[in-house]
Amino acid sequence: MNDGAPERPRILVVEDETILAMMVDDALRDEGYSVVGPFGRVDHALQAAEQEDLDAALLDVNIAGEMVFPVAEALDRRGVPVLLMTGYDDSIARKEYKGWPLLMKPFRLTEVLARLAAMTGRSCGSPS
Amino acid sequence: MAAASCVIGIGASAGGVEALKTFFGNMPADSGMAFLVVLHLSPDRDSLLAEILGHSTKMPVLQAADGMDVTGDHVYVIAPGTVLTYADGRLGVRGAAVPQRQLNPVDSLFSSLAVALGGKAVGIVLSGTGHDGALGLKAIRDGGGISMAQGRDGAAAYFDGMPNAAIAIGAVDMFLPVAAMPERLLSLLACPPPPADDLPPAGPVPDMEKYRAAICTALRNEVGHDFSGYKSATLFRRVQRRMQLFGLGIEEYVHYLATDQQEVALLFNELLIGVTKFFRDPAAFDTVAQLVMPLLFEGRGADSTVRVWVPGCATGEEAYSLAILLIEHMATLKVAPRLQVFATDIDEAAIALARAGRYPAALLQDVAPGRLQRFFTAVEGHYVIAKQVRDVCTFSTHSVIRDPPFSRLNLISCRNLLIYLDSELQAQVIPAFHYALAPGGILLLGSSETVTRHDELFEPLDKTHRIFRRRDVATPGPPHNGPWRSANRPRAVPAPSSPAPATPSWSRRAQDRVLQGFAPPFVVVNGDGQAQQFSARTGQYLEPAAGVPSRDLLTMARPGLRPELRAALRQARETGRRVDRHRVSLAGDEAGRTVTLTVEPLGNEGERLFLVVFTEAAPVHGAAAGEPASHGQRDGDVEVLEAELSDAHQRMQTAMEESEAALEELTSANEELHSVNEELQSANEELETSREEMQSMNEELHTVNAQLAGKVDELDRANSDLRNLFESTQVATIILDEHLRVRSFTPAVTGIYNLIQSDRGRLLTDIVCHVDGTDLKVDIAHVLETLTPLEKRLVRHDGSAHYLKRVRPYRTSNDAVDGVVITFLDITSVVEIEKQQLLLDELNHRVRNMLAVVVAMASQTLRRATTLEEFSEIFTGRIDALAAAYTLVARDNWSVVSLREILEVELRPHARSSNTTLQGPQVSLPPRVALVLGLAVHELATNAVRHGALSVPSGEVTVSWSIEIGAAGTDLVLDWRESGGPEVVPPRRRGFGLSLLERSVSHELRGTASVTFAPDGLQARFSVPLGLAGSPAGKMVATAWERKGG
Repeated sequence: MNDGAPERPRILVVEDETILAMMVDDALRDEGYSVVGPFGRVDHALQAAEQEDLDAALLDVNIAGEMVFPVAEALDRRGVPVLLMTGYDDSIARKEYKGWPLLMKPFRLTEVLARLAAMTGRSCGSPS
Repeated sequence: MAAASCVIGIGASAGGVEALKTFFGNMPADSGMAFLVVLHLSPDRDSLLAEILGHSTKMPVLQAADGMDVTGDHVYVIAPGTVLTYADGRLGVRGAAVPQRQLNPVDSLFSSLAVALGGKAVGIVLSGTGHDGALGLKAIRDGGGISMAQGRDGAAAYFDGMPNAAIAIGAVDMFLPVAAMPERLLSLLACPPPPADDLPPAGPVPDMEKYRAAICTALRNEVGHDFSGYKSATLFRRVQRRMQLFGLGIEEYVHYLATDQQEVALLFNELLIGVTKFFRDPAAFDTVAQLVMPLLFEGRGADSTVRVWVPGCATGEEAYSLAILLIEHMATLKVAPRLQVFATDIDEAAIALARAGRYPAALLQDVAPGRLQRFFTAVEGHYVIAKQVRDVCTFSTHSVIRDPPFSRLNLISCRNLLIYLDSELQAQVIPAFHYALAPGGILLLGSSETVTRHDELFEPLDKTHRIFRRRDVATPGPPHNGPWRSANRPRAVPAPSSPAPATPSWSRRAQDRVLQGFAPPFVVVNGDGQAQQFSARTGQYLEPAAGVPSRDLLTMARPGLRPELRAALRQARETGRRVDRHRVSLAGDEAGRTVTLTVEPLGNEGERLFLVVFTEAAPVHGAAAGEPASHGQRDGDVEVLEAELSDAHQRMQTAMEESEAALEELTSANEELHSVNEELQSANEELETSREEMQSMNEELHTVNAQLAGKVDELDRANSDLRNLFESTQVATIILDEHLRVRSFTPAVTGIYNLIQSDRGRLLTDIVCHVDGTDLKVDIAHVLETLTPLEKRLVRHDGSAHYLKRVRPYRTSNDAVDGVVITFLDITSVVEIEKQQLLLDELNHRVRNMLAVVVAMASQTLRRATTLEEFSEIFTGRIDALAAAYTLVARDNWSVVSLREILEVELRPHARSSNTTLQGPQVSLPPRVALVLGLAVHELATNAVRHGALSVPSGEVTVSWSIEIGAAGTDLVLDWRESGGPEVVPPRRRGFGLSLLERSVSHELRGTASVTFAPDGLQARFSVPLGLAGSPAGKMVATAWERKGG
């Protein structure tokens, strides 16, 4: 894997659950993305969201009790597509996080990858 | 919808609402009759009458509208400010410009019923003041219909003005309590009585013949009139009508008649139906017009007055008819004298109706159209007599029996009075008429009356129509002894005729002759000098004075006599003795005669009377010639006489001047009296008008009051409903005024606020309450400002209940905001459910997260496992570690977990207590920290078992920790130290377990983790911040630690 390759889409990952973050991290790298993060704190994530060059973002909604929306909004302002992950029930989540694309936990990695591919304009599964 | 079997008109005014309620309360709803109800209503207000009556009957009660079909078993009530009439099975409703009461709406309805239904019309007059309805009932009854009036029954407020007026003018068939009317109506409907003017009854007349005597006796005894000369057919027809009105047989009726005076009066009225009518008996009026009128106006100038008297005028038709005839005749004359028609009756109600001069159209059906147009104005179904006619007539209450008669009359029309008087009274009244009439005056009597007993007073002009002319003879008996003096004795016992029993008539005649021919002239005067009787031949001493005729003796006495006469009268009055005045000379008497004046008191009971006798003495010079006297004596006599003469002259002069002055004063006083009288008259009329206005106002008030009472009843009921609702509702409600003072509250409030009844008016903020009331003022201010309701949740101080507080503006009935309404809804159960839902959601969230973690764990473990067995072992171990940590965390409901416990639980599967040492203070960890550390310790222990100290029996692990308090916060520092194990070979590549351990401490706990592969054993050091600024978990932990550690 070559993290530095400029053609790799840069994905911001914000997830406080370490093992989940590690899994996503591994999976994205395996899929050929460049991962920014993963961040377990909103303030760090926000800094990255404002400064890093990003193609998409995968954000857990609840980061150690803090809401991730400032990050999502910052990204939105920059035109970076965002995918939110949450463990809350679908009906509650839809009400609370209106407007944002949602991914319900627990998710399958293939679904994450497919959604990201769609967001970044890459075809799913390439290059492996 | 069936047409009405019978249409009943009902009129009422003050007290009428109660009477109507009673009436309809007793009337079955399926009688088939239709009821038209007229009440005097205020025109400015909507009427609740239909609604109020609707409560009393099952029949539909409708407010009358123009053109509405009249249907059986329906009640139609008049609308305010309208006149209700009936024609062709439909209602007629017209708006009225003038106040309803002035229109006599009851008369209008009855009149229309009389015209439309004739003998089938039924009219009922109920409680009310004034006399509306009386003439209408008369119209119904004259048309053969049935008329009823309310009698006192003590059941309701009762005003007898209207019923009494109807009874007074003889328009009522039946006088009943209201409650008895429906039953009577039903029985009458089942068996209607024959109309009064029908053909003779088919019933067995001979049967009635037996009772004729009894009926006539009852009438004679009670009303003093003998009907025995009445035509049988007519009498029986009328009697039969009365019988059937009561549903009685002839025998029962005769019995009833004998016991009930009122019925006798009503039967009498029945017999007199139709005696007052405009131009009744047209033939008689034609004769009067042709024969009498020219006589009345013969030789009269413009300054003379034709005076007419109509005694017993009842409701005035006769008087107006005569006035019309007079006016019509006057129109043909070049010179028109003034007219004066006095119309009198003893009944006030009748006079009031006559004064009003307003008659329902039904009563004028027989009046020629030309006359109607000329002498009447049509107003809303009535005809009002023209002012021209009204001005001629003066109506007053007066009794021909009791009161002195009018005088100097030219015509007396008494066509329906004498029938009410018995023959004795008639015998007194006829001379009174003679007295009242001026010479040549005319007397008109009714068709059944005559003056045959007084042929000497009246001569017939037209026998058929009972027209008589006064004979110019003295009225028998001085007028002041006339029948009208017998006050309070309407049926006067005739005075016993003066006793002349023993004296033969010739003797009496002889005495009279002597008195006339030989006795000296004399005059009888009273104490005031008013002549009471003159003898013959008083002419030489007395002569009528100029001017108004006078009976004053002193006025009449010839000038020379006056001083002596005056002196003598005074002396006689004062002394009570006989006074003689000799040789009183008559001034201007050339013969020089003298008289002797004798004034002698007459023994008379009561009034003092004096006899004045003029005895003629011989002439003075005659005496001188016959009786020669000495010259000296004569001279002396002359001197004495001259002195006396001049003396007398002087006295006379003075007396004359005095008398003239007195006369002038009298004249002016008289004039003043005249003008005062006129003023009084007009004031009286004004009073009469305002009295009527007051009466109508009073009635309207009564009606309004009755309606108000109904409304108040409804309000009371609604109020009581509301109170019950208020008392029983479980919704705690407080109503406050805008100053937060308690206006009212429901009992349920007392669970929240310590309110008692006497707290009304106190500030709510002063009342102890069991919920958070601090922001109440702000909330109320907000609601009052924005006028939008506000909702808030409150918890009871003890947490036992939750309330939803709603604050809404209090709006008055006219939508003004006047305070607030606060309600407290107990939502404790709702809140409980919400909490449970929240918990469930949170649980779901955690489960999902955990599943995501497990999935990631599996994925990561799988990534690095070389065999399935290895994967299974490692994965199971990790899941177990996670589960063990979760068990601990969950045990205390996700609160804090003891560090030592976590360590023990995580080490237990891998180590024995003999080779592990745990050293450190008691520390409580937040769940998340506990979970991460638990997993980290699991990874360390797994590694120790597989490669490190715990892989050999001699190896040992020491875990020690401490709390370090620095500037940034509180840190937990934990050391893992292995010893006694195999030699440590640092791995070529960091395993997943250790990197997970390092990353999770830094990533999730923001701490640091370092693993050192020292040769004598692996060492790990974690530093985890517990007291991060702004982290609630940290604070809690620190507190917990301080508490437990300290």
